[in-house]
Amino acid sequence: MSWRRTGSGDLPIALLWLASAVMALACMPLFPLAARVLPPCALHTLTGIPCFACGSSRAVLAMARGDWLGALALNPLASLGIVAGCVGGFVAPGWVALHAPILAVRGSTARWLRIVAWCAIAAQWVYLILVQR
Amino acid sequence: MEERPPDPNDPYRPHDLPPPTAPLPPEPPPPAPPPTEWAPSFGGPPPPPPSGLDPIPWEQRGLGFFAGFYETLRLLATSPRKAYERVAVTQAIGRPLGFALLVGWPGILAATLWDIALQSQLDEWMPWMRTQNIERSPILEIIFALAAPLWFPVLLFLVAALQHLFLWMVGGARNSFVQTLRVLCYAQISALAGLVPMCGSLLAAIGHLVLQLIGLSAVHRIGMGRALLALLLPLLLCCGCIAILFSMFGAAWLASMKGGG
Repeated sequence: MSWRRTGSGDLPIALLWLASAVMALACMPLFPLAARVLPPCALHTLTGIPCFACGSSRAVLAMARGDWLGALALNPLASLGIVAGCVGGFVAPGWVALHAPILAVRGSTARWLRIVAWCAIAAQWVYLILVQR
Repeated sequence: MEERPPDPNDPYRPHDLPPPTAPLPPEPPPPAPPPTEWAPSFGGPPPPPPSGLDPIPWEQRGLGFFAGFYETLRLLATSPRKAYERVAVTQAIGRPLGFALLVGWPGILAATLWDIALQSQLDEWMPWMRTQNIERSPILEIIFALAAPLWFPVLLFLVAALQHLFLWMVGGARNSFVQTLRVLCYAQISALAGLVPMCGSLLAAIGHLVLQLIGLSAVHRIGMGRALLALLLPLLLCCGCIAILFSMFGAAWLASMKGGG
């Protein structure tokens, strides 16, 4: 695990991140329309078992309505990921401008983090199956 | 215990020791200082790729715009592995994004226009593909395609972020996120298949998958299997249902064949 200072080279990525966050917020009124076009989850339709991503679009709609807790209950990882993505997009350019440090995870720490990520995915799937989203 | 000098007639004498009469080898030159990190920018030249090859023509200084563009197209189409091995490991994304727009935009436009022009035929041949939940507006679709330079880089960024996340989850992210984004940018050459009517989008999707597979494997220096796993993992996790759906359709088709035959 090591830290490195951000530099001007990181700015294009930070700006792209900002653009993504701005676009996500700007497109919020279109989310209900987009949700109508999305096909239903085939696994859930066929077997009654929700897939790992089930509830993501409903979580996005709940977030667009301002129902944060409802979104978290529908699909915790997707909700947290979207919020982190949007907040990160607005923070990133300033972070780079200040040459603030960022973390580079390598070696055994990265391996442990990967295990944690897989466990989080498995836990979310079990949760979605248990609550029958 | 006192250490003795090595005996030249000793049969167990290590081979790597120089003969006693030979002159001492000259001292190796001091190691070169680490190369200073290339200041990434939209216009600057990238450093040579780690393999010692020239950078991909599109990023080569001195090569003209059209020559660089044509050579990159040719290299990606004929030997994509070589092309991706020449993709320099830098933070610069301006040129790859420019390339992605140059090849992606016409492809998106063409695919949209073909889709609108052949909509009635497609609905007739593939009624299950018809979107019943929403009224389609050709004008809006064309405007959306024309505005691709605005949303396409953002889409590439988001897809690359997801792809890099899954690559990291399978232990394949040996290089930074920017390299994943650069692979994705150069894989947009497959969007040109959108110029082909009817099956253009399908060809583009297949080409995109193949190019990404080769690109991720070459740039992150991982096996094709791991790259494939990283690419398919989102499908397996989020749409694992698709595999089940296809197998059920296959089973139903086989059953109907059996019943009919």
